[in-house]
Amino acid sequence: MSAANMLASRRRVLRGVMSGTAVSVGLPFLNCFLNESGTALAATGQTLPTCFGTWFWGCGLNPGRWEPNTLGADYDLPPEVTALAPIKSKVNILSGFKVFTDGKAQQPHHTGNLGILTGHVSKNAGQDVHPSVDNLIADLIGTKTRFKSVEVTATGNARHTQSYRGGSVVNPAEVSPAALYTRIFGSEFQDPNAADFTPDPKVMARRSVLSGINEQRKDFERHLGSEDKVRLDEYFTSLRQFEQQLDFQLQKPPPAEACMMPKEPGQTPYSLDIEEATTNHELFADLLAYALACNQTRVFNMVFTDEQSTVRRPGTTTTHHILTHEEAVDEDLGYQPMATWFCNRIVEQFAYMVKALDGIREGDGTLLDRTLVFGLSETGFAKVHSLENIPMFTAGSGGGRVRTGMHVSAKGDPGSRVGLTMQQAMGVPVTTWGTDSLQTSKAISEILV
Amino acid sequence: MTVTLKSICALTAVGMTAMLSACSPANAPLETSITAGSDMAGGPVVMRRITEGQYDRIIAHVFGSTIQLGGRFEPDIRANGLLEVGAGRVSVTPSGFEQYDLMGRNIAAQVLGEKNRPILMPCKPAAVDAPDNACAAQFLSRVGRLLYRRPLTDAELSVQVKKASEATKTLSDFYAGLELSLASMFVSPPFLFRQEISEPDPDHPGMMRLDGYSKAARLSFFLWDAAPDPDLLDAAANGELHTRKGLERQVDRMLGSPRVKEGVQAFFADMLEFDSFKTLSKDTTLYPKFTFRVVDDAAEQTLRTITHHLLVENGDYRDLFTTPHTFLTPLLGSLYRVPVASPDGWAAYEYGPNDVQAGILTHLSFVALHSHPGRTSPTLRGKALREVLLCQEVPDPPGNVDFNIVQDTSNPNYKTVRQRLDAHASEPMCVGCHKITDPLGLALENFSTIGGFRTSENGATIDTRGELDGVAFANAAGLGRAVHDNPATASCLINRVYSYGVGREPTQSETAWLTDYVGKRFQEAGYTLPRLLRTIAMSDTFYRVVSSDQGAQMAQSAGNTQLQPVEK
Amino acid sequence: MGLRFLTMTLLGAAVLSQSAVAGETRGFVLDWFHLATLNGEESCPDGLYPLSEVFYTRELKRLGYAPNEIEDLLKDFPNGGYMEPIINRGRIDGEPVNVYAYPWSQPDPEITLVTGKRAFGFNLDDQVSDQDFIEPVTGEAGIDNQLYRALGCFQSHTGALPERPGLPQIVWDIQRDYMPAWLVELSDVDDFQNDDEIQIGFYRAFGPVKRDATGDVRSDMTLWVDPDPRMHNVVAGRIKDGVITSNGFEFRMLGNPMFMAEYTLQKARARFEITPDGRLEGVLGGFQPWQDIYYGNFGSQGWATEHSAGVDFPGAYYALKKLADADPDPETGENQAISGTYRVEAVPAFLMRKSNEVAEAR
Repeated sequence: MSAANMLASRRRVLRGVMSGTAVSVGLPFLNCFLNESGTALAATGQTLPTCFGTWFWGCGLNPGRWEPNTLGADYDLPPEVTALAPIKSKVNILSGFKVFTDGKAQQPHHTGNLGILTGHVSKNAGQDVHPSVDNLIADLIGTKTRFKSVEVTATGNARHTQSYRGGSVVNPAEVSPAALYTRIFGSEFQDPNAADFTPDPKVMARRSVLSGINEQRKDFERHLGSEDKVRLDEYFTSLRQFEQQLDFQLQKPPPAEACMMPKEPGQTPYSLDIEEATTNHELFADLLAYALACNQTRVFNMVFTDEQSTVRRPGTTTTHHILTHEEAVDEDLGYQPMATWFCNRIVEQFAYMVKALDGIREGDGTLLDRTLVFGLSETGFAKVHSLENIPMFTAGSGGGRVRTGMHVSAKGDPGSRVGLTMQQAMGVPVTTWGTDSLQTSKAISEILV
Repeated sequence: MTVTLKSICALTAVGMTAMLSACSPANAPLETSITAGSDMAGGPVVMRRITEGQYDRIIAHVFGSTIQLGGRFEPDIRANGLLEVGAGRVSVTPSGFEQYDLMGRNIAAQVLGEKNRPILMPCKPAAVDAPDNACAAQFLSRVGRLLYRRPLTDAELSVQVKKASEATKTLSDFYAGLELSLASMFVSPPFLFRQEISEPDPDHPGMMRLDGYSKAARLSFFLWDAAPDPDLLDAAANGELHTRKGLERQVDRMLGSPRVKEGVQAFFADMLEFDSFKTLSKDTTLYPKFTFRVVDDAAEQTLRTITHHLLVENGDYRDLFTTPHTFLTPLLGSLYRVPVASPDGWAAYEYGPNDVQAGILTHLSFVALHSHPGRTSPTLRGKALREVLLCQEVPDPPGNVDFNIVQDTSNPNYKTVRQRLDAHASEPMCVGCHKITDPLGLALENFSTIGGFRTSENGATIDTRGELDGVAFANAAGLGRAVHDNPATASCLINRVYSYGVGREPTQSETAWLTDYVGKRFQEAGYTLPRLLRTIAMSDTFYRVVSSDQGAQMAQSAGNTQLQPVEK
Repeated sequence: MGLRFLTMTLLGAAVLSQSAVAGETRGFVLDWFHLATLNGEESCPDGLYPLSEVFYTRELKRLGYAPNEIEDLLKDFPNGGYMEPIINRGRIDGEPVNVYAYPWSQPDPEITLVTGKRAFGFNLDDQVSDQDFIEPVTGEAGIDNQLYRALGCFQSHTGALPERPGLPQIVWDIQRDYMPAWLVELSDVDDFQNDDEIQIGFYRAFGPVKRDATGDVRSDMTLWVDPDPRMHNVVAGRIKDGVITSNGFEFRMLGNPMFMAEYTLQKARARFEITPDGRLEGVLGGFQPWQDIYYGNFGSQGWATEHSAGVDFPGAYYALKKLADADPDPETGENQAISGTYRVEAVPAFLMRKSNEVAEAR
């Protein structure tokens, strides 16, 4: 090694460490290790459970650069969605949907996603929020797993969650892949494929002790006003769910043929730096895929960039959000080049998430086939906070309930139609959903099987 | 009669500033009657979830500071400018419960581990592998009183003991069983939530007040941001706290305790939104001096400055915006570009009389916290000043603004942010709101996005002239003086301090009382914080309970002035 | 920045810049200190000295190894069997000895020397000879810099800014975290463009430099001056058209004992400029005991550095000895010091002293 090389590598390492550059920890490839057991699984005739996940990003995409020109199957891929090419047959693109505010002031970068995910636009930020579809779905399908749902964000801020429980309660997001690993695959993880099963006496004791809180519920409620009682109800709902998690740990878990312990990710820095966010997103995506494959949860919520996408590139002065407002449109290109860089990165990462699920083979299909991923943003054209034409994707067929490979355009239709469709696809018994102009009973028949 | 008049007055006032001029001091007779009649206002109780800091302090005070928490708290929400008010609106989510459970078991394991057991256990079990209900009860009742901020009821104690006994049998280990019972207390509502209980007030028939333990807890979290200590709990138990003399003894004891410093720091960290530091990031390629250590030091600089000025010096609150005195580490000195007379730790520092660096608005904790990662934002800074320190609400940008006026930092025609904002002002939709914020924020343009001092931007000299509510100034020091002299500055603090104490916005009658009585006392006391805390802590209003269906109307905007876009 | 007032918390602390001298004072802390070099093509037109694999082959051949044995010894380079014979390639009384400790125990390999015309530095002896260089920045002739002539054709000792010479850069980068920082102070300055009388001070601090988020030395930190007068070098100087130059002085500074424990430069001279972003950049030259240079940089480092940096240590020893150009030993007449020039870069800092020291000085 020449001194020059020695020097260069030393400086790189030094700089890398000092500036906190993420060292990405690779996970083993997810595919191809299941073929044999997959066949065995198919032979048992067992139906694998369906899963649901949301995938959120901020600041939308550039109008005219992501909506396919053709409708229905075999759609074309405009420049900002080319990253979807390898998985196109398993992805739907939904264009044209909008959110109505019915005279309520728009909360920029919040109203759009709220309208789609909850079917309701609240008057004031953080108040009177309705539950989001992931929670409505988790109430149905998430009650028989260790975790009812798992929320993560690649942005390093636990408040960047898109999982609304209603009122002012949100499910905070996990920010660290290493912490998520410990939570799911740490010492309390029970391999569903282990030959023998002995309930852990410690878990039995914990379960018993916690029941003491329930026994005293009446006393705790005695002095509370009606609003506080509602909040204590939420507490007891959480407690009940936690008890159920313990109950599942006391039962022999059903086998999960594709389940495998993922590699433990090391500690990674997290912030609004897009490179760190990307590293963490990829680690999260891989961990979530295993969490679903191992039946630890059936619902997840992923935030890649927050509402208004405050991520930024290292070495630049401005965030994606600021760029959408302030960057000049390049006259030759016809779009904002720096802001668009983020759009491309975002779609690439959505594709990464989908591929992580598709990479886990189960029988003749993949984990993605029994999963429905709902990708959405909060605005159609971030530059003007437009609530028109908010970009949305779905991926996976949710166990055969969703037709894929379609482009559906519904110009001017309420985005709550998508939220309703997601619920119906997952089996939630709901026919009409949403409030005011977002109220709808029209699911998207083109993609519902 | 008096109250009715006050209510009308409050109702017609559009904001705190207007209220001040409308209700005092012109209405002097009214004032006197209110003062003479003391304080009979009050409001509903709100159940608050304990905050991270409170949780932390309770554990440290009860079990010692060596106990590690090892968990992640649910995010708090901010309401009426405070997380402490938001704490009255949140509950516990499933994932939050999981975290509380993890932390609780972790703490219990440390408390009853072999190292701490001899110190923290008041008794030894008859056998280590079998239940000993007497010993378990002794431990759980002693610890439970401190954790629940009141004695455990007989029913509660018997459940905890029974569960400890069952777990001991399952695990054949006394301490493991007791550990789980203790852990369950950490996830139990009486620990996680501050439940305040009211009772009829024998001194004022027909009225309700907090019961002794609730009063003790409200007082203790208010002054210390911590649970009551045994002395205060005793005063609650023996009724002393309900006597004026007993209350006075406790309030003065607490204000004299070193814990009040933590309490005051917790309040200001909440009011000044220092929780945002957790996620504050700057572009280190552009600003390599901004390391994570700087973030810790930045919050502490301001909190040290505040507690030194308000508690040690007993200074005028408004002087915080003009004071040349602060505390620095060499690391902060490297950002501010000033020498620091301490090789390693903190050193007092005094700016010169002509320096623009004066007051906490010029601290990194303000200018860096309210900036973009790579550049400053007069708009964000101005908005924060209005909302955080003057309790005024700046309207959100309208939804469908077209930001076609481009703020391109590389445009040679618009070198400074003032020039870019001026160009932006040709958009009539935007100018109204920017006039509310930008003239304040532009005065702070001498401070870069990381708080470093500068006099030019892109080679052009920075113009720091600005204006606050008709008062013009030349630079940040002038802005600090304008904030000092603005009547909203003191009234905003009163609003926030009271809201912090009661965990909600003041009711209309409380707002009137705060404005007229407390505001006047604060002024008379030279705007000193300990006196303000004492005035509130010694009042009846602070502990008076009026349920919401008894007609305690929340003030329309909680003392926040809703600003309207400026027409021009 | 204007006048700053400092509240004393530590008993008797004072900012040096507030001391009695008139005019402005600016402090700096050293970011870089290493051999001042130019690029290899210019300085060594006949080619650079080969890397260690090549000269190890030559040395093994000299020691009598057959070509197939040499190939075998070097087949796992940089690991492998060659290490032992190479490290012990010296011979005293026919016995193998560690060549780094006894560099004279092997014959002079006659390393490649700098033949280029230019080198950084000063005319230290006020004479112009054919061994002297021309200064790249000032254009001055008669530059004394035999240190560069000796070492400048090692591949790890070449590089024109912004490229730095590899080995000296690494050595400084490693040691600066573990040694008290070096400080420079310009005082008594009325005009940073032109001032006939200023004072330049070189000091050592109490603690090491602090770094920033990118790993560079953090500027504008407060550093405390070590009161030990042995680490105080104060010299008069001047500023002409923004160029700061010192009179001759003796420069003495303690370094990191792992490398150069001590730097002593006789007839030292310094030349700096202040960059638009406030950095102090320039050169420091003088006559330095050549054995200090050999044992600090090479003799104490051994095989690990020799093979990885491609510096022939005994070759460097002989070159330094041959090219030494000052301070003749009274008995042998051999020169004990060699002229050399170091690149100096420093960032703004606040220099502090205990006030009792200031009081004593008054």
